[in-house]
Amino acid sequence: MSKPATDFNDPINLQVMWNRLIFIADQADNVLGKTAFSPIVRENHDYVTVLLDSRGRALAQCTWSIPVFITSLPAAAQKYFLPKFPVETIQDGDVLATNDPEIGTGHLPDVTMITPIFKNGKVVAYAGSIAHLPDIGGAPLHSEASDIFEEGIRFPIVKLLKAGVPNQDVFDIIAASVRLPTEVQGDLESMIAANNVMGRELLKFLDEYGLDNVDGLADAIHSRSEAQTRKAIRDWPNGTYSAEVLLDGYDVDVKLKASVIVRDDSIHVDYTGTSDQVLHSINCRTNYRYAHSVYALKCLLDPETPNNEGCIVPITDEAPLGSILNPQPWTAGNSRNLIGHVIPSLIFRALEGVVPNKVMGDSGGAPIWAANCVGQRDDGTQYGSVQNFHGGQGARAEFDGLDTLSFPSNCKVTAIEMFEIAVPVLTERKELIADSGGAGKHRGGLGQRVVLRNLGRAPMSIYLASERVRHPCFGVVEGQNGTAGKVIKEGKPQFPKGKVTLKTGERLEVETPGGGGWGRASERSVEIIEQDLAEGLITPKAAKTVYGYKGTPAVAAE
Amino acid sequence: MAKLAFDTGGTFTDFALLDDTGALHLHKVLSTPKNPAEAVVQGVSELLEQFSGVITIEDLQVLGATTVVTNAVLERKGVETGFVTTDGFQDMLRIRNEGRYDLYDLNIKYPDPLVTRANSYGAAERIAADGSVMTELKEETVREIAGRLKEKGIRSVAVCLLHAYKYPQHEQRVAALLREEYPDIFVSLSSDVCPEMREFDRASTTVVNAYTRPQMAGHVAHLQREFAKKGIDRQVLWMTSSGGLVPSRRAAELPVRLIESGPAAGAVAAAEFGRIAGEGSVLSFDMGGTTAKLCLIPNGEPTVGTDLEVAHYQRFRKGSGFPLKIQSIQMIEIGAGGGSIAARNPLGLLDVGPRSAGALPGPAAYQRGGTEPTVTDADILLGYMGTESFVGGSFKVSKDAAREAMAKLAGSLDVSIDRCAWGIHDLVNESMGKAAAMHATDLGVDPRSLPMVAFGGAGPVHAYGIARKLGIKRVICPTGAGVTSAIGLLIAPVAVDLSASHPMAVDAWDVDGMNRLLDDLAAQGAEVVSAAGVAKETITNRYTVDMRHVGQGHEITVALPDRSLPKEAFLRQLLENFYKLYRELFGRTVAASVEVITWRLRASGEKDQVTKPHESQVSDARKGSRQVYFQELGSYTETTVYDHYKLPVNQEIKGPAIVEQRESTAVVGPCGVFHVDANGNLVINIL
Repeated sequence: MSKPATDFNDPINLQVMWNRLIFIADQADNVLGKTAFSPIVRENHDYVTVLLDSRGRALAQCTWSIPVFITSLPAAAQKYFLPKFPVETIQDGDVLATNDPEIGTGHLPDVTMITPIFKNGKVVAYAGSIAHLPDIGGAPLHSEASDIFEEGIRFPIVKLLKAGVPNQDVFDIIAASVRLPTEVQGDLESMIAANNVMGRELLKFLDEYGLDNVDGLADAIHSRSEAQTRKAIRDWPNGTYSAEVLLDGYDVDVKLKASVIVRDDSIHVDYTGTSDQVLHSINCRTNYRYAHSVYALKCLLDPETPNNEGCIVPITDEAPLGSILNPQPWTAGNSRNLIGHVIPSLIFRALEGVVPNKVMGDSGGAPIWAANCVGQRDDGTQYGSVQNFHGGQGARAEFDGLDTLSFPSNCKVTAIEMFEIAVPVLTERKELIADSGGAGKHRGGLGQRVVLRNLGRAPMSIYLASERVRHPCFGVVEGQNGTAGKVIKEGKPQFPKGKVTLKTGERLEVETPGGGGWGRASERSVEIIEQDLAEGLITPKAAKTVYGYKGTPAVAAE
Repeated sequence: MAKLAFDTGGTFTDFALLDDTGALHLHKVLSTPKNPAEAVVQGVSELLEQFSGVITIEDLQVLGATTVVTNAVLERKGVETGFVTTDGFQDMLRIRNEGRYDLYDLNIKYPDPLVTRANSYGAAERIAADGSVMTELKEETVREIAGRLKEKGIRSVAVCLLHAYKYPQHEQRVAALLREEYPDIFVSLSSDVCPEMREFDRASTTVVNAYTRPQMAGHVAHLQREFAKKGIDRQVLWMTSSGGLVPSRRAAELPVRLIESGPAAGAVAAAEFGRIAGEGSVLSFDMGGTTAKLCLIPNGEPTVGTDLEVAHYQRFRKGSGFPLKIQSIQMIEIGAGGGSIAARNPLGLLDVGPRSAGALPGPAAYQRGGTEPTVTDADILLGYMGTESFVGGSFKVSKDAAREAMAKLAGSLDVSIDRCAWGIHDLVNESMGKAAAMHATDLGVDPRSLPMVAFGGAGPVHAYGIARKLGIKRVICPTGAGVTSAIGLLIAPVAVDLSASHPMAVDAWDVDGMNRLLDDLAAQGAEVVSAAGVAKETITNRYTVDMRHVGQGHEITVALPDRSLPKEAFLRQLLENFYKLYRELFGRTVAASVEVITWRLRASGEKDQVTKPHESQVSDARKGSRQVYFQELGSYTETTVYDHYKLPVNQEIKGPAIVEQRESTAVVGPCGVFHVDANGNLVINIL
């Protein structure tokens, strides 16, 4: 009655083994996060761990992930790592890594690391991780660079470890080129450790089930997942569904245009009509763009199946060479998320007529806002640390958007008490903004107002990465826009992608955008409007003018 | 001295009495969820009456474990609560940490904060990261808040000011002002409840405390009154999540620390059962109707940590609930129990849980309306659980109903009924094994080297299969597996956990500073522990520190070396302790300096012992036989069924076999050999 463990089509065997692979990626995630040095890795969780099969295809990923990383990693393995270092050129204990944006995730701070896993002298799988290092040299993370060479050092795919022995030259060059060598070195060590754990645990798993490799299991996982994705696509009518969105860009508006072409059991997204590349750090490379196309569609098609290569295969995309979504290799892209994070919202907008009950309003977390605070402490040492802020989530067909939520990325923010230890900055306020969520049958989530004050004796440079200041988040299915963001210093609006200098005691105030609404505001229930009023999430004035509320709320907001 | 323990659970309130002669008596009554005290009083009265001859009432110590706190949060039945924080941060509870617990689900939600936005207030004040005061507390803002709270009739308030873990004086002043203006209010301070860094976690913990406090205070007072009527003078001692007992007063002030009261008592019991069976370290496995709990117990002591979460919006999804930074026994809760429902997922694969049939409608075999197959249904079909002697034969169970439900699922998966049933049993075992391995990674222990102590209604049914998966060689199923937590209360020591965050680099070690800090913790600890009746000279102080490399954000907890050592030897030992654990957990070490972040003290009285000698029976322990499926044999086999309580001591019997207790059944596969030891525990050795 019991089938041998090698029968991967058995619905029970497969589930058991698949769960284990995900668990292995989670174990590695745990090691990476707990040993990391920089706040951006350990507090914001700006990293992933992914297990790849012997062909570099994604097999399982950690549960708490950054969407763009998990699709970029297998693509990097298949297109670059494996061709450059075929199996005959690597040995047990080698660790391969690069921060080349074209190979990895589109900007230099992200290091992509791949460790081959050997069993009986053969490579059976690869352990992969990506983490956002706290510094990579060059100009501090922001949008002003005009080409990639201004943005920091770049190392091609190298053997960071050879047969377990550190390639000290590479470590030394990296340490000499960055502002925070201890943190950078520490984070790289954490990635190495995480990949090791994945290898160790996978070998245990193979021994336990008496398997020589994961190929059969990988095929079973991939084919089942692919079939499921294709089945979901077939439920959508064939056709071409288009939408566009205007973004602030650096100095001129950037237009993104997507045509989602549904053809039987596959989907192709064509970004023709999108603005040209720019001479600033907001260009999105192919891997980065594709990861977002895939992510948005998976959320709509099949959010349940644990992500792997099979979920990706039925989806393709393209953008014209020289456009901001397929720029020339020399272009700058440090802050590519300012543009790329909006891709999922754009795809949702294109599909609002196809799957209105699944799409979500545009999110104020697209993109993440970042304030990279750099300067000199009173004791003369240098500090540098990024704090993130998110706007409100777009409204869903069933629920209001959540306030202040990371989307489409998935970064936690550093606790204020932690950040204030790392950097001489005081957070004076961090509060929700009433009326910022786009109106609708379901309301967009609220954005937040944050006030930062320089406590140090030396001036503090804050490198800002923010968007949606001129163009707010849009609603879907007739939902309304949320409010736009704001960046203000001492009462004056600031350039949202520039450097702001705060002298001692000066303040920077940011307001993140509210999420877009879902459905008509006139359909919102009176009960929920009154609840919002009682909680002060909307003002009485907005209740009247935006929602047409006629009553007098029983409980006045405080 | 006689001791009487009660453990309030969802369905039953369990009792264990240790009388003046040292004899152990067990008892159970139905719980009374509307007022849990009723069942407690009923059970205590019945036991006192029955055993009046062997209890000296003036000396009787009553001990309690409770679900009052957990249920108040899960069912959102706490009181309307206020929140006071540094002005500008009133939205902290809604803003959370801005991350998502599920990547692809656009429809995620978090539980609504326990305090509304309208009941959240800002006090004008500010403390800097180094603990200095940047803005003095503007007292009139607090008086105004007190007025509003009073006006609204809010009886309980949580106060969490930024950096209060470093400088608690502002919070203390806020409490004094609130009480001045509004004497009846319950005030919970973050610097008392959870003096640790990271404001959202600390606020979340403090709010849960405030939300449950009036209810717990009422419960404690009610019981104390009822017990006094019976002539019981001593304060009740309550089990905290960290496995120590605290007096009623502290339990009523810090109810959040009791959130895992029952499971903690179970872990304490498992540690003791392991010890008396001659084992040092064990893996405790408690599987009931809806969940299972796994707990690694290295060297007889459960590990205590601060990662806890309650009220998940999505069941068992980490990150979807309220974080609680309290000392609690580190265990993993898995959303699979006897009542977990098996179903086909969209990919055509078998899933078990997290949906549960609960007590009602219950498994299909109970014939109380359940139509979907559950783990219990699978266990019945496989022959692991009998149909006659179910829960001591107290209710009827239908194997046909189980088969009918299973047939539907098997059909949709295109497998045989038996394959489907075995798949469910095996998948549950796999989840448990996986959770145990994850738990082990967290604690740096290899689970394969440990024996397992299995209890709870379904624990002994699944223990053999899980042990085989993990490579565990020995399973111990204790006597009285149905009231294990109550037994744990009799054993547990009085103990209090205290902590203080005060970073100190190993390179800049300040011996005097350390001694001042630890002596202060010790004085606080002695006060609480002696209030519970422990003689001061018998108090044991155990110090641990949370350490990390300078620049890391997560700490690991290591033992503090003997403070009387010379500084150099002390630091050498401290670093050795740190590096050893670091390597075990993370595989590699890093060349960077090391610091202490948080200092911890556990001040405790002595542990007690409970043994119940097994009365070996001369009569035949065989009850009959039935068809049971074993994977190793690939088929059903006619298998002997034994009565646990009639087995003669130390007589080895080869598996396969089924060994039944009143509330649970142990499965022994063909690779197992078992016996009952002198203490009545069933010991299964796996070959």
